Amino acid sequence: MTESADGASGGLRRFLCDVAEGSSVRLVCIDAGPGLVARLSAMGLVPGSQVRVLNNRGRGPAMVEVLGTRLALGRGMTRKIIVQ
Amino acid sequence: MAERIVVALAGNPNSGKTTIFNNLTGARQHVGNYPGVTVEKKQGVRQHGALRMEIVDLPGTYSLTAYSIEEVVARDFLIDKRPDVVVDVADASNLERNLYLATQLIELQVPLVLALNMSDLAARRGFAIDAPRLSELLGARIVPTVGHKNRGTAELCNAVVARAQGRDVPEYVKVTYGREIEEEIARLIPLVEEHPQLTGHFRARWLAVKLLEDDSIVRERIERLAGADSRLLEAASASRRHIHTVFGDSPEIVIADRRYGFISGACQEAVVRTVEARHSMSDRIDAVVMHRVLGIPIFLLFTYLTFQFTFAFGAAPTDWVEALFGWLSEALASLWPKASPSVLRALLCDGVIAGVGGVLTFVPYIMLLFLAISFLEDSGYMARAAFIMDRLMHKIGLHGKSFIPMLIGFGCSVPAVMATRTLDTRRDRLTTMLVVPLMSCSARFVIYSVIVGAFFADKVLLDLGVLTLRLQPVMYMIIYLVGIVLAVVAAKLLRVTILRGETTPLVIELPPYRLPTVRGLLIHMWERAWLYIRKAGTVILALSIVLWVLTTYPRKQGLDRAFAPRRAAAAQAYVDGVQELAETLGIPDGGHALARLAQAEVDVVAARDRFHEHERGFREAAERRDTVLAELRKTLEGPRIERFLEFREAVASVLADFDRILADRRTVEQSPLLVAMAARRDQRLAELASRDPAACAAARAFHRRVHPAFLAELEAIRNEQAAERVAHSMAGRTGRAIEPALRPLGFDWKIGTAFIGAFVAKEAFVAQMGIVYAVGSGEANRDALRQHLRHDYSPLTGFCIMLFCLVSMPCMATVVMIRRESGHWGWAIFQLLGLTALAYVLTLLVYQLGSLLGIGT
Repeated sequence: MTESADGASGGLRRFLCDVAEGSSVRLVCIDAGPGLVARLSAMGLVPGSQVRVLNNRGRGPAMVEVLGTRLALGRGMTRKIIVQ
Repeated sequence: MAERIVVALAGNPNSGKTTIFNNLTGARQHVGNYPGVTVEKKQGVRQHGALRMEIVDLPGTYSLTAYSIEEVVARDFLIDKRPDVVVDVADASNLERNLYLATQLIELQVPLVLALNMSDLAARRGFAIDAPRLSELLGARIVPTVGHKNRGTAELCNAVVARAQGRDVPEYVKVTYGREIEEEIARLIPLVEEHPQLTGHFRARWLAVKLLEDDSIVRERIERLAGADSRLLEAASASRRHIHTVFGDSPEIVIADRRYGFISGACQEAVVRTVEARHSMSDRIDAVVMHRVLGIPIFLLFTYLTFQFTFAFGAAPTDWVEALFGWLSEALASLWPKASPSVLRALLCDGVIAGVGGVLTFVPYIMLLFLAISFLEDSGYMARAAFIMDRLMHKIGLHGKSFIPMLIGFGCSVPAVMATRTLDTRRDRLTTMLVVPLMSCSARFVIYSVIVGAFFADKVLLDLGVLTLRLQPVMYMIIYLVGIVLAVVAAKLLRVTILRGETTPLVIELPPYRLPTVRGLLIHMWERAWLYIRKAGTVILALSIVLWVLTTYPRKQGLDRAFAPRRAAAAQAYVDGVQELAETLGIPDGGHALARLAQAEVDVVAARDRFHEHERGFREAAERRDTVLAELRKTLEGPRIERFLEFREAVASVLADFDRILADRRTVEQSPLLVAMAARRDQRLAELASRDPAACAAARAFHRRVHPAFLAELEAIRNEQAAERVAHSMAGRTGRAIEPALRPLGFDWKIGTAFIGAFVAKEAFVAQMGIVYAVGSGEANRDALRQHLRHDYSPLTGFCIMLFCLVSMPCMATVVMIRRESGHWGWAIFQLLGLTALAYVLTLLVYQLGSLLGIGT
C-alpha cells in the first residue's frame, strides 16, 4: 500500500465529492480531526485503500464501497477525503 | 475447575453479534446501564454442564479508540473486568474490515476466540476460509457460525470453555507495524515497565502502541498512575514526532494502515476468494430505495405502512387491555360494600387502576410500533433511511439518524426518547430529545379527534372529482405540520444557542439487506416495551395517585342529599310512565298494579346503586320485587302483566342485538351488514306484534320512552355529581384560580382543570373534560362532549386547545425518560418549562390575533 516513488498513481488529487459515480479511486488522506480519522480508519478508509464510488450527489451524501463494506458518507464528509 | 466464567462478546455493528448473543443466552438476558454513562449493558447467562457462563454483550464497535463512549466502555470492561474469554464476532463475508477490531483485541492480549459469523454467506460468495491456518496467523481459535440459523453455537461454547480452561491455546501472535514503528515501541516499553502500577494493569506493548496513537485516556491514566514522572510521556511525544517526520503522516494513520497490512497478509494466506459481489441483491434493492427521486416517497410509504400496521393490529388488543382493567376495577370494588366510603378502595380503583390502566392500554400499540421499527432496523433499511433523510436533517442542524426517534415520536414520546441512544454525540442526542415531544404522539391524537370532531364539520373544501379535500383531514394535517415546523425551528434555535457546535459528520455503514430473525425481532421489541411498562408502573403510578388526590379532595359533602329530589322525580316519572301503559296493554284498570311493579323495580335499581349484587341490601330489594310480582300474578290482571313482562324481555333482546352491532365502532354506516341487521330486527318485532299486538305495543312504548328517559336521567344525575365533585376539588379550584391567566388564550377553568389531568397522560385530558362537563368520561360519551364544546367555545378556541396540547404537556413519563437519558433533571425541567412557555405565548398570539381578525370566532 505504498505510493510509487514519484507519487504518480493515476490522476490528479481531488476531493471525494468530485469523483464520478462508478469510478474507483485510491484514498490519499483525510482532512479531519483525529477522532474522525480514527473512526474512518476503523471502517476501512485508510490512505492507500481502494474506494469505489457508488452514489454521489455532489455536495450531498455519497455512498462508497471500501474493503467490501458499503458506507454512506454525509455532506461535508466527502469534502474532507482526498483521493487520487 | 471454576464454576463460572465471564465471557465478553465483541464485534462490529451489523456483524450478527446480537444474534449470537441471543443464541447463547436465549431469554435469559437483561439490559442495564454501565455505571455513570448512558451506554446499554446487556448481560445473559448460559449453562454449560456444571459451568455457568456469564455473557456480556459489549457495545458494537469498529475499533477500541478513546473517541467514542461505546468504545471506551468496551475497552474499559476488557481491561478492568478481565473476562475469562473474549469472543470477537466477525462477519466472515466482510472479513478484512471486521478483523480490524480483532487486531486490537490481539494487542490487548485478551483470551480470544473468533467467531466467523455468516459463514454460510461467505461460502456462498465463494470465500474459502482455511480456519486452522487463519487461527495460527491470528493466534486465536476460530469457530465458523451461522447466527441466524443458530449453527455453530455449541462448537463456539466448547471453544470458549476450552480457552477459559487453558486448553488448546494457540500461540500468541504479535501484530507488527514495520521497522520504524517497532523501533519506537521498543524504545517505550522499558519506560513503561519502570512503573509497576502500570504494568500490573495493562500490557506494556499495548500501552506503547496507544501512546504512539496519542490515546487521550491512556495518557490521562498514565498521568494519574505514574504521577509526575513525565519521561514516558515525553518519550512518547518524541516518538510520535519522529514517526511523523519519517512517514509524512500522523502515527495513528500509519498504525491503522499497518493493521490492515497485517490483516491483508493473513487473509491472503488463509482466504481464497472468487470474485463475486457481496451486495448484488442489496444493490438492486438500493437502486430503487436510494433513488434520487423515488427515495423519499418510498420512505414516506414505509412510514405510512408502519403506522397502518400499528393501528390496524393494535386496536383489538387495546380493547382487551381496557376490558381487563375495567374488570379488575370492578372486581376490586366489589370487595367492599358498595356504599362504603373507603378511601383505600377509591384510591385503588379510581386512582391507581384508572391511571395506570389508561397508560398500559397503550402497550399493544407500543409493542407493534417497535416490532415494525425493529424490522426496519434489522433488515438494514433504517441505515438507508437515515442516509436519505440526512440532507433534510442537516438543514435543521440535526443528524440523519435523528429522524428515527422523531418517527417513533409520532407514536409515543417515551420510546422515542429512548431511541436517541443511537445517536453518537451527546449534543445530537439532547437536541433530538428536547424536540421530540413536538411530534404529535398518538395520545394527542385522541384530543385532536374530539376537538376536530366538535368544531370542524367535515365540509368539503375542494372537489376535484378524483380527489376531494375535506376539512377534517386538513385540520389534522395542519396541526401535525405545525408540530413538525416548530420542531425544526426549535432544533435550529437550540443549535444556535445552547447546544452549539458542528453536526457530527454522517458515516454509516450500509449492511447488505437481510431478513431479520423472528427471535431477534421479538427480543428487540420486548426490550423497549418493557422499559415503557416499567415507566408506567413507577412514575405514572405515583402520579395517578397524586392526580386522584387532586381531583377528589376536598370532598363535597351532601351531594347525595342535594340530588335526592331529582332522583325521586325520576323514579316517579318512571312509575307514572309504566302506569300509563295499562291502557295500551289492554287492562284499563290495571294501572295500580303496574305502578306497584314499577315501584318495586325502581327500588331494585336504587338498591343496585347502593349495594353490590352479593350484598344483603340488594338481595332484599330483589326479594321484595319478586314478592310483589308473585302477588300480582294471582290477581285478575296477572296474566296480562305476565305477558307484558315476557314481551318486554323479547323486545329488549331484539333491540340489544341490533344495538350491539351499531356500537361496534368498526361497522360502517350503511354497510350491507347493518342494513341486513336492521331488517332482521324489524322482522322479529313484526313477528312479536302479530302474536300479541297490545303487549308488543306496550313493550315497545316502554323501551322507546319510559326506560330510556329513566336511565338517561339517572346517568345525568351521576355525571352532574361527578362534575360538582371535580369543581369542588383541588384540581377544580386550581383550574378556577388560574383561569385569569388562561382567559387571554380563550380558555376557561374547565379546560384548565383538564390540563392538570393531562399532565399524567394526555388521554386524561379528554376524560377530565368529559367529567367536568358532566357527560361522563367514557368513549361513548364523546359525541355528547363534542356538543357541549361546540356550545361553549368557538372554533378558534378549539384550535388553540389543540395548539396548546401540541406544544406543551409532554406527559410525565416523557419528562422522566428525558431525565434518565440526559443524566439529570436540569434538561427535563428546562424542556418542560420551555415548552409550556412556548405553548402559552404561541396560543396567546394565535388567539388574540384570531380574535382581532375575526377568524373562527
